[in-house]
Amino acid sequence: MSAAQHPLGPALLRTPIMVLALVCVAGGLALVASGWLQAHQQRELNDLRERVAHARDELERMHVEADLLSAYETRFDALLANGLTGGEDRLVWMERLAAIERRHRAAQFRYEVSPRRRFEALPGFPLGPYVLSASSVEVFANFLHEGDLLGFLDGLRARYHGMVVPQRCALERLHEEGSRHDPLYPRIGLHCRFQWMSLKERAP
Amino acid sequence: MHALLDKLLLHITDECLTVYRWQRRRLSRLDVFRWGAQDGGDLQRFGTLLDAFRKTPALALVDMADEDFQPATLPHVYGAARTNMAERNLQRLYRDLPYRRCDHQGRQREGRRDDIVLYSAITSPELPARWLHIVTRHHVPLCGLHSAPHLSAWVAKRLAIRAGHVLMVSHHGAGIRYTYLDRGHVRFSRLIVCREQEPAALAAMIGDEAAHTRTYLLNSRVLARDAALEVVILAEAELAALLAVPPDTPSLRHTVLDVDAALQAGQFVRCGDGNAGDAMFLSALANARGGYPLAAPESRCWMLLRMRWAIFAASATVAVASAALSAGNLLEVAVMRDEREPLRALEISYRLRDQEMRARLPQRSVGADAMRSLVELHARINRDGPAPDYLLYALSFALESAPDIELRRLTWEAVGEQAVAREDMNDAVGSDEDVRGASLLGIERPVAALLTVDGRVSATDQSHRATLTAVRRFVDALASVRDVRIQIVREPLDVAPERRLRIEDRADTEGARGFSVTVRYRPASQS
Repeated sequence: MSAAQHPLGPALLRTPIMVLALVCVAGGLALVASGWLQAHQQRELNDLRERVAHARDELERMHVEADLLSAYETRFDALLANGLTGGEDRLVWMERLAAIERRHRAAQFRYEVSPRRRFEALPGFPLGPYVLSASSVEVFANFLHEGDLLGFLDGLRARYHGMVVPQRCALERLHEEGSRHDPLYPRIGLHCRFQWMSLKERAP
Repeated sequence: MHALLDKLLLHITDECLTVYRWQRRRLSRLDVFRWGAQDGGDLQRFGTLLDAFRKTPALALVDMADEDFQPATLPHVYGAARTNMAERNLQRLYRDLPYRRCDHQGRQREGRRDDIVLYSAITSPELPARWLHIVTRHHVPLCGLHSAPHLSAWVAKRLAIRAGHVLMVSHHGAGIRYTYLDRGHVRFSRLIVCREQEPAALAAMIGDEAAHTRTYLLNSRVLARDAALEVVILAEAELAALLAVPPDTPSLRHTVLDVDAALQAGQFVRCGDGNAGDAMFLSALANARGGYPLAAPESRCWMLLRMRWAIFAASATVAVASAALSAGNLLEVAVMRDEREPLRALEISYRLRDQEMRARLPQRSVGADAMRSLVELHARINRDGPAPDYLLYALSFALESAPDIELRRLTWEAVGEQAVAREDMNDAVGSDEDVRGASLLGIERPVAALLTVDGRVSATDQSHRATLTAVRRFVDALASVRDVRIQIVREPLDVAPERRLRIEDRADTEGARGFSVTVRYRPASQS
């Protein structure tokens, strides 16, 4: 019996080597399978956690929205009712300016409205579907006295809920020659420039 | 663990080979074989026995007289140098002997502190080689070849013999063995072959040979002359009773140990009624490591068996590791599955509450954020947007303090932050860029303003002093208003000493009564 054929020859190692190979294969398969299962479960769990986090965020957002609605809805509706978001209807403006001119007995009343300018983004004020615009308006007028002038300015601002923002106003005392003969002769000259703000829903 | 393994112990003497089986600390004699058997029946029986133990490791114990010991010293070196030096000396001492070894036994205490070594060899290797050849031929894994003298140190330690210089005398089946131990290390050994002697003669011979051995050790300088030697005699009770132990001297002491009692005390394993001395050394053999180096063919089976065990061990390790890791993964999977259900329930709960809230909220085309922004934008422009009211109030307040002042022209203007920060207020005017960027609308912050007042003094007293006094009173009143700063642009008359003063026509006082003042208003949140 040669050494190679004997159970304690190299054949002796055949069984352990086969066992080792089998164990390696089986162990490797078990590791791969369990690892895959673990990774799969981990992915599913991560997805689930993300979904839960998203649902929680959505719920919190709804809470915040509900709070905001309860805090601002009434005031917003009031602004809507006052036509704040009606956009820039210049014809209506002209009519209102004419009414103010008549009420405050303005003489030589003339004005000029520049093209509308849009504010695309206001930091800290996400306006949603609305767009804020402004038109620069220059007004020239003569008044009888200072009271008419202040009333004119207050009237402008009150009428448009403060969305008329003055930028520059110059008052000048006119020559008094005319007022000596006519008590209703204007004595105060006014040159004002203001920004006429407007909000309008964005075009779809 | 090593002692727990199932082993074959081959006890080789000059006369015979006795095969023992060591199994879980039990020693059993299997058979005795003699080389010189005429019909070769012993060899055949031995082969048959070996065939039954092909996977059992075998250890051989050579208990023969033909073993040589050469104590020596070597320079203290390490590694390959030490190995090469020892190998050279072995080659020189025992050129043709296959079973030879070099044992390092510590270092000298004095001088160069050389290494103390013991060269030893089985000087008639033919007999053990013959037996081992049969073992090899039958593929029994031979894992070590030891000799009785080299196991003496282990036996002495087990018997708690702690003297520095010990001559251990033990009675074996093969004869009486005298082994000299120096601080626990074997330095010399000899076997006196004695068969079937009367106990009295044996006792006398033990005493005589112990004295002879001591003399040899002294003469050969293996034992120093001033060293105190303790002779420990392991003998059966019957033999011990017959021993004539000489009286102890400072350099020689005798201790007789009852070998049966020593077997129990040292927890040796005895094989039936076999020789007690052999049982001691067989126990030592079962626990021994190392031994005489074996030739490649002799150790091949043992190497293969060890490889087999190693591969099985590796397989077991891999299996355990992969099982543990897989179990860990599966455990994690189970934990994650347990975690999933509550999360699903939570998600459903959130979604239901969300739907419930959505149903409760009014449906608006405008989002709550936009609503808030619009309301706050409106409020911000109303609150912080530029308006002339404050400066007109300040002017009105100042005019009450200065009734002689007559206003000719007022210019109010919203100005940007950078402009208002400039000292020269004449340049502090709002630019188109400011308006375009909505900074002058009060959306970002409250807007500063600049009021330029052009007026004249209309007092009855038209003296320069009265005129200047009226203007200064007016300016002082203006300056007392909060958040405003005044700058006189033009005075009716500049009477500062460092300036040129020129009056051309006293009658023309109108020009000397006009003045111009700028009032800068910076809201509190800007300053």
